[in-house]
Amino acid sequence: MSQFNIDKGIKSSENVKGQSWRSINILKWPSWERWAAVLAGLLVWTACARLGLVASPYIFGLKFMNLLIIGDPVYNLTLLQIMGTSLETLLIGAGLAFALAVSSGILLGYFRSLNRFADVFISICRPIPPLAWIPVGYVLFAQLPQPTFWVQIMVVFMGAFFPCFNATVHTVQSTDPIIIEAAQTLGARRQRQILAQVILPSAVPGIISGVRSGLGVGWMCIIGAEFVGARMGIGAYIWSLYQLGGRMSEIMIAILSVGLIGYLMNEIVILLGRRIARWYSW
Amino acid sequence: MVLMVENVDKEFNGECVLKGITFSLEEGEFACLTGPSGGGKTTLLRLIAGLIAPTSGHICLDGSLSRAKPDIGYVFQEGALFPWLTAAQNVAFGLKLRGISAEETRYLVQEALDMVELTGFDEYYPKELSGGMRMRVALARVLVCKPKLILMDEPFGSLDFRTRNKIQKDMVKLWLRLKPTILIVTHNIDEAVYLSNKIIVLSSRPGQIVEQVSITMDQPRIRTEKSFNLIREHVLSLLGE
Repeated sequence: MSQFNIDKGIKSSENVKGQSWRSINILKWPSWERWAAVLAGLLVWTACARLGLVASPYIFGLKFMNLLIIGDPVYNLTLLQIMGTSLETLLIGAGLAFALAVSSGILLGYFRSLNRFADVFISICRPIPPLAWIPVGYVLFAQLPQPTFWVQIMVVFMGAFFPCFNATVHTVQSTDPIIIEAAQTLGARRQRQILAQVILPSAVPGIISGVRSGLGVGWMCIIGAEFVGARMGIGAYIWSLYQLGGRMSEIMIAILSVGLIGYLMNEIVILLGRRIARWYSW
Repeated sequence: MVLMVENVDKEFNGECVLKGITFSLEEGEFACLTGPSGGGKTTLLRLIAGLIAPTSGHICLDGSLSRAKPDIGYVFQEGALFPWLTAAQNVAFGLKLRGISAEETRYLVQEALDMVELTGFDEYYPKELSGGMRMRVALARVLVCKPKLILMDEPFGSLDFRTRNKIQKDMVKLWLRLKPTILIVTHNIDEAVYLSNKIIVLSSRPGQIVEQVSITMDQPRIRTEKSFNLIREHVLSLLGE
C-alpha cells in the first residue's frame, strides 16, 4: 500500500510540468505598462499639438480614417490599395528569396566543403546594401515590359535572401550531434535518412526565424526601392507626398502604417511558427 | 555470450584513453561500468555501440564483428530525444526505420510506453516532460526495438534524488521482467551496487579494468543492508576513495 502511494506521488509531481505547457495563450490582453505607454504617448502628442508643432491626434486620426476608407484624392487610391501593391512586391520577392535561401542554406549547411567554397562570394555579397542593386536591376531588366516591377522584386530578393540564408545555414550546422548519433543507433545508417529525419525537422524553427527577419529586411527595402521609379506602392506614395508639397500628416500616417504592417507581419510569422513547430520553446 | 570485448585499445591524437580492455557479458546480465571521470567510460560505450572504432582489439556482438550494430540500443545522457517528435513518435522512430507496419508500430509503442509507466503521455513533446519522464521515453525508444544489448550512458545522472531512486527501482523491476542484457555507465557507486550483477571498475587515464566485481545478492536490493554496504565499500576502495 505504502509503495503504491509513493509511486502515485512521484507520477503526479512529474505531471505538473507537462500540463502547464499545454495552454499557450495566443492573444493576450495587453499589460498595464502597454496601456500606460499608449496613454503617455497620446498625452505628449496632445501637448506638442497644443504648442502648434504637429497636428493633433484627433485631426491625425480623422485623416487616417479618411485615407483608409475614402482614399487619397490625388491618386484615387485607398491606403490599403497602396499598401497592397507594396505587399505584393514583397511577397513575390521574399517568396523567391526564401525558396532559394532555404534550399541553398540546407545544402551549404550540410556540405561543409561546399560552404567553404562558396564562402568568399557570400561574404562579399552579404554586406552590399540591397538598394545598391537598383541601377544594376534597371540595366538588367531594361528590355522587360515592366522594368520597375522587376527591379523592386530584385531589391526585396536581395534584402530577404541573406537573413534567411544565414539562419538556415547556421541552424543546419548546429544540429545537436548527440541527436544524430541517437538516430544512428536506432538504425538510421544512411546519410539520406539522417538528413530527412533528423537535420531537416530540427532546422524548422531556425528557418522560421530566418523567414521572419528576411521578411523584415525585405519590407524595409521595398520602401526604399519605391522611392526611385514608381509603381504606386507605399514608398512611392510617401515620396510623392513629399514632392507634392510635403503633407506632413499624410507622410507620417504612411510611415506609421509601414511600421504597423511590419509589426503585424512579424507577429503573424511568430504565430505560424508556433503552429508549425509546437514542440519548440519559442 | 552476448558481448565480447577483447584487448581493446583506444587512442585519441596519440593519447591512450583505453588500454587492454577485456570483458564479456552473458545474456541477461546487468552490468555497470564505473570509474573516475575522464577514465574513458563513455568512450568504451561508444566503441561498443560502433559509434567510433577501436585503435586495436575486437568487439564482438552475438558472434558478429561488424561495426554497424543495429541490435544495440543506446540510451544517451539526458535521453537525447528528438524534440520535434511526441513521446509516441520518439518511441516509434526505430520501428519506422525497420519498416514495421503502422498498426504493429502503434501496438508496440503503446506496450513500450506502458512498460516504462508512461501510459497516456503519447502526445507529449519532450519539452513538456520532466527529466525523469524523458529518460523513460528514451528507454522505451530502445526497448521497443528489442535489442540484444542495451547501453546506457549515465542515464540518471541529471535527475534529482527522489526521481532517481524511483527510476532505479523501476529499472530493476523491468530487468527482472524482461531480462535484457544491460551495460550502464555510472559514477554513482550506490547506483551500481543497487542495480547490477557485475561492476566493471575502470582506472583513471589510460582506462584499464581494475576489477570485475560480481554481485549475487537478490533483486530488488535494500540499500541499508550490511552486505550491500560491504560491496559499496569494496568498490570505493578499488577507486582509492
